[in-house]
Formats: sequence, C-alpha cells, structure tokens
Amino acid sequence: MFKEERTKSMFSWELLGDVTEGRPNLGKMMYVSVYRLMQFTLRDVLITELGVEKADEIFFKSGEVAGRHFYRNVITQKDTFNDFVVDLQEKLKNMNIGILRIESADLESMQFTMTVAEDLDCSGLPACSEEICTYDEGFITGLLGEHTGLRFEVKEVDCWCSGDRVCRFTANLIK
Amino acid sequence: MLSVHEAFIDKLTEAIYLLLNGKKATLVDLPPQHPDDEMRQLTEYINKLIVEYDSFTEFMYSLSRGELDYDPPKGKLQVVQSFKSLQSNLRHLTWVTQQIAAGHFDHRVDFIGDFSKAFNKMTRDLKDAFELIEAQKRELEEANYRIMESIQYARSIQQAILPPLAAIEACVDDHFVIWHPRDVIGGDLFWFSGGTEKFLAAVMDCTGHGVPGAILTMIAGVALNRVFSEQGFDDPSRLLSAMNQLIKATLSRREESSLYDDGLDMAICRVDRHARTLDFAGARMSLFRVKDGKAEEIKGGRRSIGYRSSDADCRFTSHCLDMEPDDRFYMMTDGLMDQPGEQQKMPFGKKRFVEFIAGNYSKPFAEQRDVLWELFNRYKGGESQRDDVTVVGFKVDIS
Repeated sequence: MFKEERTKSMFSWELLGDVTEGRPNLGKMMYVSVYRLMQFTLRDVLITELGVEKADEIFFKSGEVAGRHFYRNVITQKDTFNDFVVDLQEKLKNMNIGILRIESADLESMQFTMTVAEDLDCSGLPACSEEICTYDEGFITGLLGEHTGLRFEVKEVDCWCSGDRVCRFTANLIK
Repeated sequence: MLSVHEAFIDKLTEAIYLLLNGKKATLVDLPPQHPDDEMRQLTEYINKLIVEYDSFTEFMYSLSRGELDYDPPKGKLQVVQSFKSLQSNLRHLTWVTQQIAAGHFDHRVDFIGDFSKAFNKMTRDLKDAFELIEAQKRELEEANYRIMESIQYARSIQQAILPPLAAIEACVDDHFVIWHPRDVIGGDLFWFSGGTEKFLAAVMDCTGHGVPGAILTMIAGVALNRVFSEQGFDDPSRLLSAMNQLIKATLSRREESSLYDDGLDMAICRVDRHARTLDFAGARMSLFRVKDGKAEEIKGGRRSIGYRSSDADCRFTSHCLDMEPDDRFYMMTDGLMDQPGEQQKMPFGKKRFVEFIAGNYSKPFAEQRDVLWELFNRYKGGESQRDDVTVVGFKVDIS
C-alpha cells in the first residue's frame, strides 16, 4: 500500500487516513515547525543522496500530485475561475497553508501572477538569496492544471528566503 | 594607522547630506591608487546605499502615481520589502475590485487590517443590494408579464367591439380605416351601422389612452349602440346630445372631488344615398371632404361629450351636405395631427393632412391608407407615437 514498488503515482486521498479517529486527543493540528522539520530533513537527505537538481524535481513532482488531489478532494467550487479562486483562498486560509492573493489573471492568454503570504514552507526562514518553494510551484501547477485541463509553467519569482515578505509565483501556459 | 584625506570625508558627507535633503547623490569616487582599506570599503557601501536608495526612490515615485506594474527593485532593504508588500496588496485589491465590478461578489480580502473589514462589508452590502435589485427586477418582469397578458386579452375584447369589415362594406363603396393605438389598447373607437341606402359612421376619441382610454371606449360603444337603438337614423346633432347625456349619466357616480374628468370627442355622419345627403355633427372633431380636388373642413362644435364640465343640455349643430359622385369623406382623431416629428419637432398638422387628401383622394382607399401611414411614420421618424391614431375615409357612389 504505502511501500509498493511503482512506476506511476498510486497516491489517493484515502491514504491520509481518518485523522479525527486516529487523533481523538491531539486533533488535526500540529506545529508548522514539525511540518518543516520533515520537509527540510527530507530535502537534506535527498540533496545528499541525489543532488540539488534531482531533489528539486522530486519536490516539484510531489507538489504537483498534491495540488491535483487537493483540487479533486478539497476544492468544491469549480464552475468558473472566480469560484475556484474564492474557494481556494478560503481553503488555504482555513487550513493554515497560506494567504493566497491573485495579482493578475489573464484568462485569454492564461497568464497568472499570485502571491502566497505566511507561506507554510518558507515564511520566517533565514534569508539566503534562494527561491526555495519548489513544492509550492508544483502544488500550483497541479491546481491550475486540474482546473483548466492545461499545462502550466509555474515559477517562483520572489520568496521569503530571497528577502521578500511574500512568495510570488507566475504561471504561464505551456503551448 | 588608517590615513584618510579630508577631501574623501567631505565627499562622503556631501553624499549623505544630499540624500537627507531630498536631492540625488552622486557616487563617490576614490582614486584607483587608493589602497584597499576600510575607507574603500566604506565608500563602496555608501555607493551601494546610494544606488539602492535611488532605485527605491523611483519605485516609490511610481507607486505614488498608482503605477502598479512598475518592477520593484531587488534590494533587501526592509523598507523596500515593505513597499513591495504594499504594491502586492494594491495589485491584489485591484484584481479583486475588477472581479467584483464584473459581478463576482464572493471575493474577499483578508489580513489587510481595517481595510479588509471595510472592503468586505462593502462587498457584502453590494451583493445584498444587487440581489435585492435582481429580485425586484424579477418581480417587476413577472408583474409586467401578467399585466401585458391581461392587456393583450383586453385588446382582443376591444377589437371585438369594432365593426367588422363586412359591416363597413355594407355601407360604403370604398373605404380605409387606420386604427393604431399608442399602446396595445387605446381610447379611440370607430363605428358603422346601417346598410347601403342609409348608414351612420362615427369616430370617437375618449379621454386618455391605454387601459383607461380602452375602458371608456367600451362605455362609449355601448352608449352609441343604445342611442342608435332608441333613436335610429336620427339627426346627428341629436345623437350627439343623447350621447352627451348618457355618458354624463353613466359617469355621474364619480365623486365631485375626483381629480379625473372623462369624456370624449366625436364625429358622426348620417348618409342617405337616395337623398344624396350627408349630415354631419361633431364634438370637437371635424369632417373633411374632398370635392373636385379641393379639400374642405367642416368643423364640429367646440363642446366635448360627457365631461363634468359639459352642459347636459348642450345642443350640437348638424351640417347637411349634398353629396356629389366623386366626393371623398374623412374623419379622424387628433393623434395624427398632433404627432411631433423627429426632424421637425412641430406637430404633423392639419395642413399636411389636407394636402395629403387633396393630392391622393382619387386613389383607391387601400392605397391612400398605405401612403398616409407611410407619410405619418416617415414624419414621426424616431419619435414615439404620442397618442392613439384613428383615421376613417370613405366614399359613397351615387348614380
């Protein structure tokens, strides 16, 4: 189930389990630092074992899978782009993932610019002149891809780690 | 021991002074031979500060002008980052506002202090107001649909009281009728009764138009039928008098204090083919005759029928005309002549009508009707129809 060999994704939302049943006392919340502990130790080992480029690729791909499943299982308003954005903002806020703000959205050319403030992955990290939210890039790629049925190139152009107060992402249609 | 030329200190001081006084500072130059010491390091940092401050100044200036697409500088100065956040929030607010303007009222802004509360409240209020307007619009459309359905039904009833074509053709040898209410139903009515040898023809213009006008036409139609059944082919002036008394009596239950006062204008002809005469009486309505290519107006009296102000004993005058074989006769309500034009704001006018009948009387009446209606509409242009329009034209062949 979790440890089967595979050549393509076998992830399903059910694999996240019934948290309410499993954690009747501790509940479904935890510290952000614990999430980061897992993410950055995992990143550390992946870079050690596979190098930076491969580690980034793994984070991006897993983020994209997460984005697609998040869209299918969490997002409920999908009729229009506006419905989708409103619902996504609300869910990201309520689940303490981040504060999503759209700066521009051109539905003709399918070009988007958005920011995520108080991002789960990076806000408060030490400045290091690097954009490190690769998982988020994949996550947004998955969300947009699932909503539109199109393929996007999502790039983080500003990041807390590179000295900004919010993470900014651009998304462009891959033609 | 660090050795510093006083001139270098002056240059750095000048640069700081210019920055503090809102002026553009120039980069500080050190001669190439200056050693790689703390002085060079300080100079480089100050030059970097000057460059970043310049970029920040340009950024702030553009932001103050509302140029949200300006690319912010890359530096790590906290003040730059803070204003980048402000620019980002403004871009987001702009986008959200555009979405709300397009009718997507579910958007919210979060975590921008008191502004979020005010903005979100405004959006909710807008949504409530919009939904209220939409609901009212639906109610109005529903009400309008029911009213129009009712009026359409009323139109079929009103048309049922108009004389059928066969009844008119039984009286005259050729004719036309233009009956065109301003609204779906109206306050104009035409009436024919009799046969080949003797008949009565009338045109009535009741107060107002639309629903109240149409109700009055029902009263007027019933009254005229009753007068005719009681008095037959009586002299038209006496028929008008009887109509006046009957309409007044019918509407007499209205309270004296009522703001409304209703009645009608009317023209009525009695034609006796054998005697070759046409007797006409009018209540603020005329008869037009074209004889030998010349149009003449036979004016009716100045009194209307049925109004509170109308004298119950009012007498009307009959005009007895000898008919000639080529005579053409026309009666009409004032809707045609009073219609303002799009180009000329003046009414269509009596002169235009008289010229029309003088120039077209010899044509078949169906053709006259088409030409007159086209003339009317061309004159009216884009103006809306002001009143109900009724025109009746006919001729009686005399052997």
